[in-house]
Amino acid sequence: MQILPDDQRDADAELLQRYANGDATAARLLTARLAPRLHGHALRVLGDRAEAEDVAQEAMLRLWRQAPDWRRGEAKVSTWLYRVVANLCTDRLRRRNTGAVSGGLDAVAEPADPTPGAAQKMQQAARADALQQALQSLPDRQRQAVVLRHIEGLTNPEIAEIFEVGIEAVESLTARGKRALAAQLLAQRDALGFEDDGF
Amino acid sequence: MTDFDTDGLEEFFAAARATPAPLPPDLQARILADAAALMPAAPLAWHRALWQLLGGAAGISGLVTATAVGVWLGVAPPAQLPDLAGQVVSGEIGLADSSEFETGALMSVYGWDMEES
Repeated sequence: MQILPDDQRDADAELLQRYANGDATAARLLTARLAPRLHGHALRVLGDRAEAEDVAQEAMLRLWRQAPDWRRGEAKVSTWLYRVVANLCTDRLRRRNTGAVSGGLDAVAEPADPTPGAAQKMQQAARADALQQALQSLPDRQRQAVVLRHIEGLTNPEIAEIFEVGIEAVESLTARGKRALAAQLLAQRDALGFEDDGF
Repeated sequence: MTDFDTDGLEEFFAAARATPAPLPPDLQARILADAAALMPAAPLAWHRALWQLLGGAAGISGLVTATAVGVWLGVAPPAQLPDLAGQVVSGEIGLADSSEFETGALMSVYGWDMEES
């Protein structure tokens, strides 16, 4: 595992230590910092609200159980959690039938807000939904790598640590995933307001 | 497929980042309930930790009883036991100086000089 230098101290690990020492406030802070990201990732990968909630809760449950034995300085808490979520998502995707997939607009994006600027928000929601639909067609690892890199904003080394693979493998996964996404979304560019964007 | 094509994806990624799914309140409540159920107890203050280390009330009472009996036997021993503490205090006997013993004599005492048959 990667050893973190002192200047990259993991604030989540410090909170986890506080939780292990009986500090309930630390649990609330950790939940606020980490759970939305885990839930968001699971929702984009699985495309199903109920399953995404189960995965996020299970991942946090494993974190609480691990807290007394957490060894600081070995891995970031967030990286460890993303790995748990990625594996849980993979398990669920494997159990699914290969037929129907979920992942439409209702599964991810909230309804557009009917306020000034609503048209822009609707267009944004439509693009996000189109991306979500396209993501569901990617193989599991490609989908997770693209979401982690381009939506969650993780670095390639972080994703490599989550998947326990080399950085080159991550670059290959994201490149192939993006090519497949572009091939699908290209056909929808006019409907999604990209007439003048050169896409 | 060219880089130009995949570069256009950034608009989609930006749209996805701009519409994050909020954490459902009931999910947050379930996560916090799990945390509360699994949270280790806060560490004890040193005197409470020592109290528990010695076995709590039962352990401490046994320790106190054993100590009191030891002191009693030392100060007022039964008639059939030698009053070692009194003899030491009165100077009748002194504490042995280990330098007075010869090594060979000690070995004989403990039987270390015996050869195995």
